[in-house]
Amino acid sequence: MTAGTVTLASIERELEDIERDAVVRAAEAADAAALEAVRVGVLGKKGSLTKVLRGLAGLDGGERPQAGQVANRVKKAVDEALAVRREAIGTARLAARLGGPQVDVTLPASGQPTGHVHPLSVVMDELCGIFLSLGFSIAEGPEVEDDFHNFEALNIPADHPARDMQDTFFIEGGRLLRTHTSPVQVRTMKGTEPPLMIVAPGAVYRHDDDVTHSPMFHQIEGLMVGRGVTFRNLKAVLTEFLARIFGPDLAVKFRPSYFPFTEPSAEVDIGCVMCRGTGSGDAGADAGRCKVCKGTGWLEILGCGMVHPKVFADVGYDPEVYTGFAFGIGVERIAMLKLRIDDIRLFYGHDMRFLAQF
Amino acid sequence: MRVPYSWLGEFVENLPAPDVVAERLTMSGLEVESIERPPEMPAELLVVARIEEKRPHPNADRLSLCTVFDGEMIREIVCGAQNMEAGDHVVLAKPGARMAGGMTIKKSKIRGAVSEGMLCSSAEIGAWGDSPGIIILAESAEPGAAAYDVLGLDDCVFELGITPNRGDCLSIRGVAREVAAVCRLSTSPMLMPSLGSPGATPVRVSELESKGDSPFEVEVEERDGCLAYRGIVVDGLRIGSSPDWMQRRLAACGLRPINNIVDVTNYVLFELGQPLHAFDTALLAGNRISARSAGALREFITLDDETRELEPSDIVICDGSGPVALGGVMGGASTAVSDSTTSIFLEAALFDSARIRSTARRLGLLSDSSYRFERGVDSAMTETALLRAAALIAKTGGGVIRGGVARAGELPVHGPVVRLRPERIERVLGSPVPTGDALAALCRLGIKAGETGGAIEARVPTHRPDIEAEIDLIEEVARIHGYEKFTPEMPVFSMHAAETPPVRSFAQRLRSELAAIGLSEIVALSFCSAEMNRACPGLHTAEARALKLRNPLRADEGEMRKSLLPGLLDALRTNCRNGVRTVDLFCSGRTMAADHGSAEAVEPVEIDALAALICGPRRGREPGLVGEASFADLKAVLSRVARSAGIREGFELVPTDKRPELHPRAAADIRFSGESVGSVGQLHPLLAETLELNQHTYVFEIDSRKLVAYAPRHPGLKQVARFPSSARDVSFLASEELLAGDIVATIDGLQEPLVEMVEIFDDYRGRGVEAGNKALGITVVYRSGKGTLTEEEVSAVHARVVAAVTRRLNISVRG
Repeated sequence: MTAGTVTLASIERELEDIERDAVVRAAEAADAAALEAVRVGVLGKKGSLTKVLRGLAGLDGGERPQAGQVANRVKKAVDEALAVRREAIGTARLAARLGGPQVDVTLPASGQPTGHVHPLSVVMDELCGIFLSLGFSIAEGPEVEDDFHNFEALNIPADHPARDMQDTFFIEGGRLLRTHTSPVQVRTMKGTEPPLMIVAPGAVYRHDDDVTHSPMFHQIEGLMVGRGVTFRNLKAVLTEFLARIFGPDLAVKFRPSYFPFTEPSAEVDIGCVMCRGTGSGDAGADAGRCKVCKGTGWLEILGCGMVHPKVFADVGYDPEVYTGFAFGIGVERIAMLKLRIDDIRLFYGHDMRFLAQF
Repeated sequence: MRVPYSWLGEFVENLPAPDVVAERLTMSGLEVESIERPPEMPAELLVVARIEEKRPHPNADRLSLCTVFDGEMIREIVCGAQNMEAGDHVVLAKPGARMAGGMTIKKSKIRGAVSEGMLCSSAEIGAWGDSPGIIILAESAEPGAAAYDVLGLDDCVFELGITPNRGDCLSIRGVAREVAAVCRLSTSPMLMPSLGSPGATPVRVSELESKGDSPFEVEVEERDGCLAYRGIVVDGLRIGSSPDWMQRRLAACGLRPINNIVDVTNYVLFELGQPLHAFDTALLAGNRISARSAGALREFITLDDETRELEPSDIVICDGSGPVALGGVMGGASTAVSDSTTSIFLEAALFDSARIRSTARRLGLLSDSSYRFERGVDSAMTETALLRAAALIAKTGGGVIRGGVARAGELPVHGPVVRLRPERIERVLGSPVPTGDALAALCRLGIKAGETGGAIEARVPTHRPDIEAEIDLIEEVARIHGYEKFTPEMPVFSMHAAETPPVRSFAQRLRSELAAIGLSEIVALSFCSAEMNRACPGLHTAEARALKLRNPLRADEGEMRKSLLPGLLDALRTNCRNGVRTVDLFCSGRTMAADHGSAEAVEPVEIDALAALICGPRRGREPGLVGEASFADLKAVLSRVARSAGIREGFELVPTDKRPELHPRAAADIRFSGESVGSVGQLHPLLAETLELNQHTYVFEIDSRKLVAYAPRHPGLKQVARFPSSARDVSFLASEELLAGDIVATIDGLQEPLVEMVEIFDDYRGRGVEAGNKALGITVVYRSGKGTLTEEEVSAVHARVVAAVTRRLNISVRG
């Protein structure tokens, strides 16, 4: 056999050499580029295997199928070697990319930490939201009031003992700080024709300062006036309101009371939210009585009543045509019960250790 | 008001148990705030004992040894008191008894002598009286009997919260009437209390009537202030202490027993609600008493020896020489009953509520008497009380009533007649009350009512001056019928949109936005000191004066705040003291001042303000806090506020050195559409120093209402650019005084159509830049809506822009 002579045996030998060589080089390829070079060197247009395949034309017809079979087997083996190596290189490369340092996920967030909305605002918004959902609009009025709107128009004339119910701050020059949000009732009625339903949230002031009284605190006044508004309606609206605040199975009772601008008037008591109306507290402390309701099982929660005909007459509503109800809610009181706060002064003490809890 | 349960029992038969009475009263509007119950101690531990023998303690001069019989056995007791003798009946605490002070009695040896209990003083068992010795009981007290029963300490006392409309319940008799009504007990005929000790045979009013002319003449000159005046004389009195049962009752009501005359007037006041006053007859000039206005009288010495200044409208009671009492409020010192008094002139009058109130308020004299007159006294009881008190005084003081009652003025016998329409009851309450039930309810309250022409006609009795109109009767019917009978029913209303004032929804939105970027909300009291109001004038005009409180709680809370800043600064100080390093706060609320008018006619202006404060190191990208708060940090907060108000383009900040609370070189007026809406800046160093605060404190305060008023509408969609932009940077060298914003404004002012955006990216001072100067780096972004700009086009317009800026602002480009 001379060089250049194409025989079946020589082709088979050559193919086996190619295979051996390609498999070794593929396994040694360091990266994707090197591996691609191996592929091109064997399987590319000018690759060694391609060249051999072109040479098959020189064989005689009988030998060609056999040589072809060998060539196909070799090509398959080379492809396989390349694939194995390609995957290995890929895996190694990914491993290298994922091998960096562990991120310390426990380090703090960047930027300022979140602040806090004041608990009184949270509760105030919740209460107003309930009334809005019931169809009440929100009204506002001045905090520096005159005697007429704060007292006279609410059936509390000068030298009436009902003024003792509200210790007043007076401003030099004749004004005063409103002692309740009720003047907003008067202002709203004077500017609007019935029917109307409003709530008036805001700051009010009383000359008082201790664990349960702050000289400034917040109220929500409510007023509904129209034809055929009744005491039963008042009970329904307030019962619904209280159930939404304190839960659906709340015990509620209406107890006769006195406010000069409503008649009949009522105080509303709810089953104590702490002891669930049982009146009993931790054994041992306070003789086993609940500290929040002092063992009574009930908590005074708000005052209300049917708008007094004199108040209607003063704002020009005909008391024979219209009836209405009004109520006043202490926001701090509700916030203290809901959030288990036992000293009203915490609201106004600005202590972040308190504020950050809300 | 304190109401002993046993006393009620004298007016109402078959009184239910205390808890039942309390519950019924509370549920009908007379709130029982608490029930004071007898001490919880087994009755057999505190008993009556008889002293069989008393002898000195062998080892102690001040102690004595008593042999006592406790009803069952003989005991040896060591006693420190000396006021007892053999044969006395005393109170014995046996071993195991807990005393009022909390001490428990034990069998013990005192100085070598065995003691099997303790003989008690009043204080030791929580009884009335302040005698230091042990209690000596009447001989009728049987040894072995429970001492609480004997002393009347087994009673419950109700503490009632009486609303101002129910003056009729400021007496035991009035409360008893209410109890009878709400407990459905029989009230008629209402018994008068007995003259003697409780339990004795009752005496009717008619039996008290005295005969003959009074030695005194009385007259009423001021009918508007004093409707009626009655007086009676009791002679031959000996001043001493009042009977035990009376003292016990008074003590239970919270009164200190004084003597047999004063105690009786107090007793009858509590019992029947009619204030009474006793004058010493010997100290009265002449025998003519008149009730009149003070008029020209200038002052009067009340029985507490205080000189009171009078107003012409005060009601005074005068004798022949001048005023002897401040009508309905307090008696005078010159005619007061003393230990040497033997004869009294007893007064029962009916004064006008408003007049009494105005005098009592002005003088700060809130007596049991003025308190009742203010709330209305029952004219039906005026003479009855006078006669009853006279009889009781005569009996307890060993005297006699001399002559009859001196009278001036008519006592009203009934109130108005008020009509009540049954349909009106339904209209107000929501469901009908059968007329029969309504009549029964009124009747139980002592209101005579009948049906005429389909309506109820009620004759209001004198004890209910609060009932004037139909609605008052509806309330009475409702509460006696029971509020619980009116079941809840949701109102039916036409549909409508519920509204929230824009300022309120803005504040609400803002709160969550500001909290989200790290600020915490505080709520501050609206009071302020004059100093802080001067230091922080807030958003009010320069002429605005602070509103001053006439009756502040504290000297440093004498004014209403003109600004929210004092509250924020106070909060900052509190938290710094607590060791908080970064304090970022905001606050929304009203500020107020008098913007116009004179000092007499204050026209208050209230502003819905919003303020924020930042102080302390910031948190950056690395863990830990670094640096201090800066103007830029607060400006970021301000942008958030603008954004919340719907203001896209942000505020315009114009430097100002006019704010007293702010650093003159680090403060700005906040403007929107040319109008000032507030100010922002660094806290003035002097203020920071005075308040001992960090110098790097930045604050702003804005007027929420002004912001919300703009209610900006969406400006309309701008075409989204289709062609690429091209950016050019340039650095200008300028004096430190030049504002970066001026460069931006200058470029904006050129109205070059290709300029899309101008941004400041650098403010450099230091090496390479002369002192007093700074280098400002600006990026200008160019874009055309018609096509991609060529390099030449961009260069040409950029050159024009830079040239214009250097020329107009007289600055140069940094090479």
